[in-house]
Formats: sequence, structure tokens, C-alpha cells
Amino acid sequence: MSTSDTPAIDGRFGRFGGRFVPETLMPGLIELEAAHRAAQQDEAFQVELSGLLRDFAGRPTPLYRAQRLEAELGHRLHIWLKREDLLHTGAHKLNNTLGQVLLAKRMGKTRIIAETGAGQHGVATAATCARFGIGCTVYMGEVDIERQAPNLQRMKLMGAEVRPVDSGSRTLKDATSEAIRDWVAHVESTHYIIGSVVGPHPYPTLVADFQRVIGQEARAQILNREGRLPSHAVACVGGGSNAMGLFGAFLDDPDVQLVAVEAGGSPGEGHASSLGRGQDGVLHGAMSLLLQDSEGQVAPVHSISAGLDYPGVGPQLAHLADRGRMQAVSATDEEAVAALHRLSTCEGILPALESSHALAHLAVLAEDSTADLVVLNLSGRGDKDLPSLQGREGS
Amino acid sequence: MILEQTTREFRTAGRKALVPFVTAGFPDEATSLALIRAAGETGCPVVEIGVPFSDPVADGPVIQQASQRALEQGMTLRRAFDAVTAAREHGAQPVMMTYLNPILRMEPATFAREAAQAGCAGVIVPDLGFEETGILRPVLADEGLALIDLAAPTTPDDRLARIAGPAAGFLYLVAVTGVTGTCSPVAEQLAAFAGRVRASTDLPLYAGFGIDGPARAVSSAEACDGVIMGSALLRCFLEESDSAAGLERARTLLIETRQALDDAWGGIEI
Repeated sequence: MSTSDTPAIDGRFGRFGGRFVPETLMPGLIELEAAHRAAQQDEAFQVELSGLLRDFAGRPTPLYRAQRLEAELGHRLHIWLKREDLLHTGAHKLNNTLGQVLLAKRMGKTRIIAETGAGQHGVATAATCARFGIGCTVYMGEVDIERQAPNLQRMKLMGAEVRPVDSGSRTLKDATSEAIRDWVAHVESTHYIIGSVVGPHPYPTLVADFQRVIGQEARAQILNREGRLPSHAVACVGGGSNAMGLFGAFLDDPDVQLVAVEAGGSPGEGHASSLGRGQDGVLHGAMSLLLQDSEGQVAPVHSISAGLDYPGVGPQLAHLADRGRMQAVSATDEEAVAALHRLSTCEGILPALESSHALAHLAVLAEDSTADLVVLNLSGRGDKDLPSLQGREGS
Repeated sequence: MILEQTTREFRTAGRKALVPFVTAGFPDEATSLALIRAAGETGCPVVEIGVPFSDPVADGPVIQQASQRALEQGMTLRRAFDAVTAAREHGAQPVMMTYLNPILRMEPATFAREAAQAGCAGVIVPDLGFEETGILRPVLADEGLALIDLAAPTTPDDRLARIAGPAAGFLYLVAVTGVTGTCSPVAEQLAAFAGRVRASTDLPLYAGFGIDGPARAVSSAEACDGVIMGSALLRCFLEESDSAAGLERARTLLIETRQALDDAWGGIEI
């Protein structure tokens, strides 16, 4: 079996991954896989991408030591935040959209589609498409349009067409299904930019590849600042792109404990903890851990955070959890909101509700004797969550 | 396999097959069984029984709505076996269409055994890529069931040849680049596609996606051996106020389509 950081040729991570899509899409996926391979070997592609990451996106992002937060949590931990919230458009998503739009150009595609939950991937896609003058359609569930209204406005300002999705749970899952249907109908002209490490091969590998820059920077930065590797690397997980981005650089460092924090939801409304409570299943093109009922229907899930409100998870993360390389935990809606308030007041940083799930786990690590040095992926900023937070305070 | 015997005999008789797609449990279980009965009485050699799934990515809005309503009424993969048995009793070969996950949940071998016991002749799994068919084809074959492979207009020739290799029963031609029930095939393009497939196999070819009425059935059947009609039938129930009226309209559509095909090819009465 391959190691976790070198994906198998057929897109398998242990028993997870693969390619479970309508035949119409298969040639498109094979074409994408070939284009990705060629780009990886092409120095001109890498130079263009790193130039964009530096000048358009603002890389490298800082690794920031949150010392007042450390004090708040009892002084035991050193806490370093990887500031992806400072990336252009406000989250790590741009790393991936820049890479994929360059791939789309190489393949001669003239139109881009994307799904979005919290709207961060939609905004990153819209910004990238504006930057390259390519038409862009973003699918977004009606529930998410309501709770992430600022991002809807941002996408529209940058020229994207946003198509509301009113089927199923009207969240990220259904936006993804609708984007897949669009792609089935327009696969020859259109590139589908999946925003996470989910979907059929080669997407989980390809998105992880474009997000790996997060961990590569963070690893060098922590070695530079602390002179050693962290005891723990922590990230929130919906589909898992910011987590794979950070963890990718530490897979061969067995002493670094990888911690994936899923959405624990709330007692009345359910959760979205696919790694912790899912079972093997196929959704959106890949075999992974999936929240489902006894008949194999996809289960309704809940998270206060639109970006984590998804019943599946990337196949590589499922594999890492399955073989014990990564620990999967969860934080509830309430814990995430509390963590958001704590970081805002302690550090003057308003984190996204997604990233706040990772932050919530710091309270657990503060009591864990094996934890002393933490690198946490602060994957996005929280401006988009103001409507949700106001709604919550009003209730 | 019994399915392929049926599809080949139908072709030998000089007739074009009409295969209705019926979502089990839509608009309700009794009405879906009545539509299956009507299909048998209309002389459909094969009936496709759709098992509803929560996230049908290959399907357009009509089958999505039908699936959701069927799920709300408690339809499951196991309960859909009743529809399979009904089709068999009314003289049609039942072929089940289900997304992969419900089969995985039941366990493929258990599914194959119970499907065979119910009288199922073949299985269509729209999200099972050809490279992944190993998890299903052998266990279905053990029970005498065909896994129906799909070919799409985007499938290149070398891949068509690989898909055609193990194909059995009939080959499902996805007639348009798209999802079900949203756009219809242009006869010349479908003919060119079917010609490419014929170069790889002599299996009967059935075209589905966008077969929206008798005229389209005739123009599409020109290039292949049968047509599959789904969204157009189910739409009858979405557009009528009650199940009985929907059933009457769907039955009429079946009869008119069957008649149009027989008028065009002068099939021999059997």
C-alpha cells in the first residue's frame, strides 16, 4: 500500500477514493488528471502559480503566536496560528482556485463552475475568474445564501453568476450535486473547480496538491521560530482542504499529532462528524466515510458553519483517520462560537466559524499533557459570519 | 442470461424496444405498480425500476422530484423488489436502476441474491464508473444478473471498446451530454454515436435521456434497438392533480409511443 502522502495512481487512499461518476464525466476526469500531471512537471506552470500566490494572493501568510490566547488558556501551550485568514478573499480557498484556473486554461476550457457552502470557495473562484476574464457560475444552497449573505454580494460584485439551489437540504451537499449536474451537461467546455479534497479522482489529490503550500510554509516557519516541530497540528474539517493543506507537510513526521476537528453541531439539530461517526459510502464521486441512514441514503447533517455542513469528507482524511495517523475530534456549534469570541477579544482576530471549530479544540489541548506546541490553521476570517452571529445573539 | 436473450429476440423480431423507467414508490407505491403493469400490458420487453436516492447526480429535476417524493413515502432498495416482482409477473424483464450507495449499504452479494429472488434481470448503476465495476459485476453474474454498462457521447472509441467487452443484456446509450430529462438527442448525432458503439459490439443498444414522446422515440430508435423513457412518463404525475389522472396520461403516452414505434417498423405481433 502506498503511504498517505503519495496518492496511489488510481486515486485510492487505502479503501477510500476512486472514481464513482456518470460515464459522461469520465473522459473529462482523465483529461484533468493528465493536465495536472503535466503541470506538476512544467516549470513555467509552477513559476506562474507561485507568482500569482505571491502577488495576487499575498503569500506567504504569517505564522502568528497568539500569546494572549495562550495566557487565557493557562500558559501551558505555545499556540501558533497559520494566518490563511489574511490571504486575499479571506480564506485558504484561493490557493486552490488559482491552481485550478491555470489548469483550466491549459485545457482550453472557457467556462468555470463551482459549488460553495460558506461562500469562501465561491468568492475565491469568482475573484480568480475575474482576474483571468473567464465566465464563472457558482452554485450555492438557499440556506447558505441566507446565512452567508456578504459572500453572495462579493461574488456578484466580481462578476460571478450565483445560482441558488433549492433541492434537498439546500446546503453545500446539494450545491455540489447541482454543480456536478451542470458539469455533466457541459463537460467539454467547462472546468469544475471543486473547492475541497473531495470528489472523484483526481480532485482529492489535485486540491491537496494546491493547498500543500500552507503546510510547507508553516513547517518552515515553526522550525524557524521555535526550532522544532509542533506536538500538534490542528485544523477544522468539512471536506478537508485546509486540513490536508496543513497536514500534508507533516505526514512524514510521526511525532506531530494531526488533529481534525469536525462539526459537532448541536443536540437538537444534529452534527456533521463524518470522520467520527460516518460509515463507508459513496457520495459525489468518491468512496469515503459518509453520514448515511440504514438504507444508504445520505443523512441530513447540521452545523452552524456552512463550510462544515457536509455529510462526507475527503478520502485521504478518511484513510488517515482509519489507520490512526490522524485523530478526529469535534466541537459543537456553541463551543465554536465561544472560541470565535475568545480569539476576537484576546487577539483582535475575527475567525471564520469554520476555523473556530479548530480553535475550540485548543481548550482540550490545554489540558492534554502531550501537547505543548500547536500549529493551528486559521483557515478563514469571520466577516462573512456576522449575519449568523447577529441572528444567534438575537435568539 | 435471460435479459440478453429477451433483448436479442426482440431485435430479431424486427421490433424496437420501448423501456419505461418507473421510480418505485412515485407518486405512491400502488400507482407505480399500476404503471409497471401498464408497461407489461403495452408489450414493453424490459422495464427499468428506479430506486430513489437522496442525491441523484445523473438525474434532472423530474427524477429528482420523483425520487424525493418516493423517499418521503418510505421507499427503499429492499421495498423496490416488490416492483421488480410486479414487472416480472406482468411479462417484462425488470432491470433495477439504483445509485451505488444503497447497494453498498445492503452489501453487493446480499443485494444480488435478493434481487435475483425478486426476479430482477439486470442492474444499472449510473455512478459506477467502468473501472469500479469489479465490486458488482461478478456478484451479479453469480446470480444470473447482468450489469448494464453505459456509454456516453463523450466516451472515446478506445474506451467504448473496453466498456463493450464485458457488457451484457443491452448497452445503455446516454443519448445526450447531460442529465436525464433536460435536453433531447438530435437524431443525426445519436446515429453517429450509435455507429461508433456498433463498431465495438453487436449487443442491442438502448438509448435513454431526453426521449420525450412518440416522435422522439421514433427518431432516436432509428439508430439503435430500443429507447428508454423516464422523465416524460414521470412528468405526467407531476403535472396532473391526482395519481389516477397521472397514471392515465402516462399509460396513454406508453401506448402512443409503442404504436408509433410499431407503425415505423411494422413489427410482427407477438
